[in-house]
Amino acid sequence: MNKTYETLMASEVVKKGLEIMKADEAHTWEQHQELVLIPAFSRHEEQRAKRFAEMMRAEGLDVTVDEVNNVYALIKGAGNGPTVYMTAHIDTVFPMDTPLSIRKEGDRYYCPGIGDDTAQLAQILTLVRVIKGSGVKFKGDLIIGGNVGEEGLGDLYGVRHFFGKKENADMVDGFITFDGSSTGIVTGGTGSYRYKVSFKGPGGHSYGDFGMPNPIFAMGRAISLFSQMKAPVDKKTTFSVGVVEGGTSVNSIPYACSMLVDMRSESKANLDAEDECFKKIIAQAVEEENARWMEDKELYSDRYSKAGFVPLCDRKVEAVIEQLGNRPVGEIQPVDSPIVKASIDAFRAVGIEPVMRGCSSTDANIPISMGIPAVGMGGGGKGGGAHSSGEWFDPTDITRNLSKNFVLLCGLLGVDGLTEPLLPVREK
Amino acid sequence: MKKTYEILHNSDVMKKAKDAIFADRDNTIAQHKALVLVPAFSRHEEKRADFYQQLMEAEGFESVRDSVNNVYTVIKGDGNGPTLYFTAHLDTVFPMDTPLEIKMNGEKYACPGIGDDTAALSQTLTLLRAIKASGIRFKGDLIIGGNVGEEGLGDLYGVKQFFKDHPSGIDGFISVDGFPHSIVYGGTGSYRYEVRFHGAGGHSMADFGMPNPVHAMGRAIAKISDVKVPYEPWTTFSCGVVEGGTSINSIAHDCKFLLDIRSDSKGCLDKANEEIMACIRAAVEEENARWAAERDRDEKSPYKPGPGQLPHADRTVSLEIVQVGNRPAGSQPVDLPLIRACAADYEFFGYETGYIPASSTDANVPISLGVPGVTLGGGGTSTGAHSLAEEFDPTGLEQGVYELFILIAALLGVEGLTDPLLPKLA
Repeated sequence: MNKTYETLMASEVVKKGLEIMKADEAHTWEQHQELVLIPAFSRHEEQRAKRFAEMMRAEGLDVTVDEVNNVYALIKGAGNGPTVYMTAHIDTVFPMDTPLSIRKEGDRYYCPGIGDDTAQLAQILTLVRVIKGSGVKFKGDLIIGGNVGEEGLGDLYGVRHFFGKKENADMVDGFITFDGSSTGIVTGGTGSYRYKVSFKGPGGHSYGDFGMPNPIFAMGRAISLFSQMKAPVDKKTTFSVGVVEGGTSVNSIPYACSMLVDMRSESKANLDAEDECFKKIIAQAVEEENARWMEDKELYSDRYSKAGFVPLCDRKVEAVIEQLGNRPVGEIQPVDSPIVKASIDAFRAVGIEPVMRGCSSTDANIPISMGIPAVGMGGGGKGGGAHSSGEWFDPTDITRNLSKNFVLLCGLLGVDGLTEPLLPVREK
Repeated sequence: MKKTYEILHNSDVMKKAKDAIFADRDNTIAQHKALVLVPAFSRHEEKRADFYQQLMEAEGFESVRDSVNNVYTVIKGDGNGPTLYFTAHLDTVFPMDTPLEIKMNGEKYACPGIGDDTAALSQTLTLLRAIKASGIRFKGDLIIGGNVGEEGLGDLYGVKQFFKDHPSGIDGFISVDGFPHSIVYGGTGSYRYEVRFHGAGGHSMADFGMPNPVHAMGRAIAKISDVKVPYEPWTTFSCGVVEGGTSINSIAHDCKFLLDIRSDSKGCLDKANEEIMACIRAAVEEENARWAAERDRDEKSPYKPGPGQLPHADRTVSLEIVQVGNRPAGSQPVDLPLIRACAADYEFFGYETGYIPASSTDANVPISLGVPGVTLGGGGTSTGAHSLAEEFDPTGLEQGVYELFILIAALLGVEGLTDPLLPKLA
């Protein structure tokens, strides 16, 4: 075992902390159940954030609720240590009108959002009680709380907002997103760009107005070019048109259609190259569709002889690109980087062999993309069915997989009079 | 031809017919109003066919109801003339639950379907009463009535069925379903399809490398948009509707587009059709081939299957093409006796003929089969066809019906007066 963790595991303060955690399981589960019944669809987290902040204050912390409803508190260390920001996300994928009730079946409790990420949000409160109750004095500072906007159209806006403030970005030396209940470690951030592309034209009758650029043709050209894009294999890079719609009847030239586009990569260079290619393709497709009917202008010229009549081929198609999502790539961090290594060793210190998950799309994308060391990991209990109405959580032995989070915080931050921090202070 | 119209117009029998038609105005309008209130969406014409048949029988004509609800009566001539099938369509574009109520707008009647084609349908009954009242004896045979399935997804199934049941023996065809004093003499053919693409579907990132139905469809549409068609005869194509997929971060299971191909010539329609079908098939092959090639590129390809896993590239996109419309194209010379006789009728009464070289009407069917056919206007004028604000203006109703009557008489010939203008087909 790593020397630091050996010392920590043998220490009275950590032992006490873990005893408190075990004794606190019922309390944790109670708060968990209260929180899950407060709806918190991404970008609609206010109500749950407010309640979570009250619960934090009840533990005696000086709580900040920022402009976007991120909730956090600073636990000052003894000094001479790094600053770690550990957070669980407040939001869920479930719209505000989703019926929420907890149903028990065997050891499992079913409710939308009960695992992802309400379980870890409640366990943040447990960690606060463990830190306070054990009397542990970290060397570094800990920022701990809940953040908004991790899911779907939340587009990571909570963590993005936090690190968008220079003083925050300068302050934090390491970030842990506490998400899910697996025994995995996420060490890189899959980036994604998402777009809605709308194609518009004047539209008309399929027979009478033939010769007019057709928005669906322009979109088809775009999809065709897109589907022939290169797919780099050095770092996984993907593209997909997921949804198409448009037009009203079989015998029309439609006036509008649209498509939803998703591009992802584990490499920023690949994703940006793909993005550039995508934008060129849209312009090229529109240009080709508009040019194609110009070829027939002379042929059809007698149809345009009426005074004041705009030739059909001059009724152009245009495209509008609207960005729906932008998650920056966080290039995968080496296994021997301090935060990754400390995470692996923390799992091992409590007897769990972690699964290296590599890249995923999590709140950690933001700090990693900014060069701030960050990892993602889960908490205690077991869960499944995330993002589905059949989502479940089993709170049996929360401590087993939660203990490593306390141990990890001790390791990263250093404990006064006991261990040096495993996480270096960044050069700023 | 002018001579024929002169003789007929000045004859006693025609005067009797004309008087009968002009005296029948209120009755015609009453039946028109009763008919329009019976809903008759294409392929749901049964109720209106029942009612129309009752009205026909009530005039003392023995009616035929065929297998698809076309209704007609046969008025035999003396055996020395051609056979003319004269019809108006029973169906409308309005679904069965469309509220139907007649409102007056000055002299005009407003109601969905009031013009297209209920006006002409009611006038076929006026013509029957005039035949009875005048005691006219045609040389040729007249088949007169109402037919189903002209509009939209009706796809001309009524007239198609009639000509299936009468593969020979019909020498001319008139559909009354158009603008006053116009003649549609060519049939724009159309093929319509729903083109469906199916795949395994999956996650946009996790299952990347799987052929994507939306991508296959895009490839198809891109190819179609570059197809070249002739200007003369006028030939067109459009993808009117696209839909598919459920979320931005999924590879769709299914998607589809609606395709419309039209031409004034059957040859050009079939050629465009063939090229477009080839585009669609090639697009699916290309999308599937792309990912098979990525899989097989080299040993390090990430698109190779995991243990016990079907390779993404083998979850291929498949194609399903469903034909949802088939209207045959047809053209015929503008100087056919049938067309000249119609123009001569209009001109005899001082109107200029509006020639319409091609449109999509019930006349497509006979024209495509080599039987002379036209679509004409009837009495009165209507506006706003296919819209809920459709209106019918009965001004000139009687005169229009009389012009149809004399046209029928001229085409079939009248005993003791004129020879038929419509030749018998060989």
